[in-house]
Amino acid sequence: MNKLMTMKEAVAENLQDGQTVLISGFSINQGYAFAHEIIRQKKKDLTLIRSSGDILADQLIGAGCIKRVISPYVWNPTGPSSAYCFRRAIEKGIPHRIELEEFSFGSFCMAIYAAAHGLPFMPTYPLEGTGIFQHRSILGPDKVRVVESPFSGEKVCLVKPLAPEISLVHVQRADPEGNAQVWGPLGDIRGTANAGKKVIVSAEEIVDRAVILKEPYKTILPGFRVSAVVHEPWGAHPSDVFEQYYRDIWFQATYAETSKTMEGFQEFLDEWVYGVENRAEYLKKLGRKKQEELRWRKQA
Amino acid sequence: MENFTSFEMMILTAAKQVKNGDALFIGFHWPMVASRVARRLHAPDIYCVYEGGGVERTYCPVMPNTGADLILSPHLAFAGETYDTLCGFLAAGHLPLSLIDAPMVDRYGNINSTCIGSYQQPRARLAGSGGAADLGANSRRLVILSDRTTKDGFPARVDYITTPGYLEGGDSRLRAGFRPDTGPEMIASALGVFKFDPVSKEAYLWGIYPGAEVEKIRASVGWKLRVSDSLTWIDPPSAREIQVVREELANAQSRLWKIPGR
Repeated sequence: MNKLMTMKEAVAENLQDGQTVLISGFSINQGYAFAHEIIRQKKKDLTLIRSSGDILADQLIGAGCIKRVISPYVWNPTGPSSAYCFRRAIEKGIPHRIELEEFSFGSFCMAIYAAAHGLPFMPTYPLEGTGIFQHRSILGPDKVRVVESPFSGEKVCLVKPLAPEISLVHVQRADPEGNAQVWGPLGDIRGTANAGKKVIVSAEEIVDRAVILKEPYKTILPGFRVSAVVHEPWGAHPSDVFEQYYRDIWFQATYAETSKTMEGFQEFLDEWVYGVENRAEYLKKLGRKKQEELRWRKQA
Repeated sequence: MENFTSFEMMILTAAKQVKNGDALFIGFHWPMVASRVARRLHAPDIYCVYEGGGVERTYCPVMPNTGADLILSPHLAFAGETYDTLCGFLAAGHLPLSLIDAPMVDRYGNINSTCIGSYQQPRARLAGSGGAADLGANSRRLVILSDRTTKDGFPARVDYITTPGYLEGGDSRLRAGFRPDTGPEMIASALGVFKFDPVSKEAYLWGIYPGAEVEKIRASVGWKLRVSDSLTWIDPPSAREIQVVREELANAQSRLWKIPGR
């Protein structure tokens, strides 16, 4: 079955206002093409689940698409710098207040694992005494519960499944049926991809099934888990993709500067999101020279 | 004696905690620089474990943006998942040492990297935990790096505990369910080096850098600082040591890191 469609179609047909959406990628393989299309289509009141919020979450928050965020952290790793839209939303309610539920990355992974594996909950590492344990918003008392281990009697923290209605995942390659492959360090990508009830994939390359069958150990999502496939080269820029391209730290640094003010952020959106029709136009704007600089090369 | 700053001494002191052959967890920021210094000076055979799923075995000439930066790829002995590294090697106790950065650390070694002021209405919102809370929970020897030199970097009590240290001191960490063989061991800071009292769990001044003054350090922390009866006078850096620290800081700066005093 051919599940190929454009990003515009994939987002319009699969994502509704108010839904809980997970955008995968940990530092690497971040679904920026998804995020920018969500912004262009002016989706509203989304609950965003993300391992590392990064400037992807920052942009969705600044553009007003997000009502709630469930994430271990939101920042810009280059510098490092603040995620300024995130800060404006938390500190000043600009463009509007967001609700934030924070996990430790380890606990986030356990909650994702529970969702991906159909478990009622997962034990996690001790959290009592931390701000993460103390402050609860979206999930309330169900954020973390403490029980006595039936085996040893010691205290154990539990987290419940973090199950998005839809997971958006950027991968190195997929076939038209949705068999999707990621290799290199994975962060939480395998878990967050599989936590979604529905899964949409964007891929650097679309390949024949034969290519997938040759190296099946690279597949993180078999086709039956995937509802739609989008061919989106450089779909994770400015983040990096193993054996495709390196991280654009210069872009991230420039973003930190421009997004310091709401006006600057608006200019960023006008230029890089609203100002382009799709990822192909974004790429044209980025330019060949920059692409060549960032393109993966054999290292000594 | 070479000229040096207390910030450079912080990096070097943290690097000296790394023994050759160690497998260690590297948190974001200065721990990355310290591990590179250690690898070049005295510990070439270390495994640096990152939350992104990578385990670095050899020195990467380019300073990575984060531990998950794929520029590290040719230097990885292992490319797995967060489930393998943060929730595996670290949590299962296979790493004798972890290094973590602290924007603010209090007298019980609790770190705040979440907010300045109240959580609900912060004066400044910071990044949040990432794996930092798990590092506090599961690290066997946790060495904390702080580039701060003033009271707001060393409050008596942090506004928010992102990374659990000894919580309220005494046995409160144990009562909260943390394993007895975990917890912070040292704060290597730009002020001096602190360790924790075995009973009260309060941080005391363990060592000072050449040229530093105890009274100035006392005035720069938010609690009544106890000074060790056998205070350690930390050796000045050798020419080679300070050269490597500076090369690595320059390396970081060339990759757009903000470096204090540069």
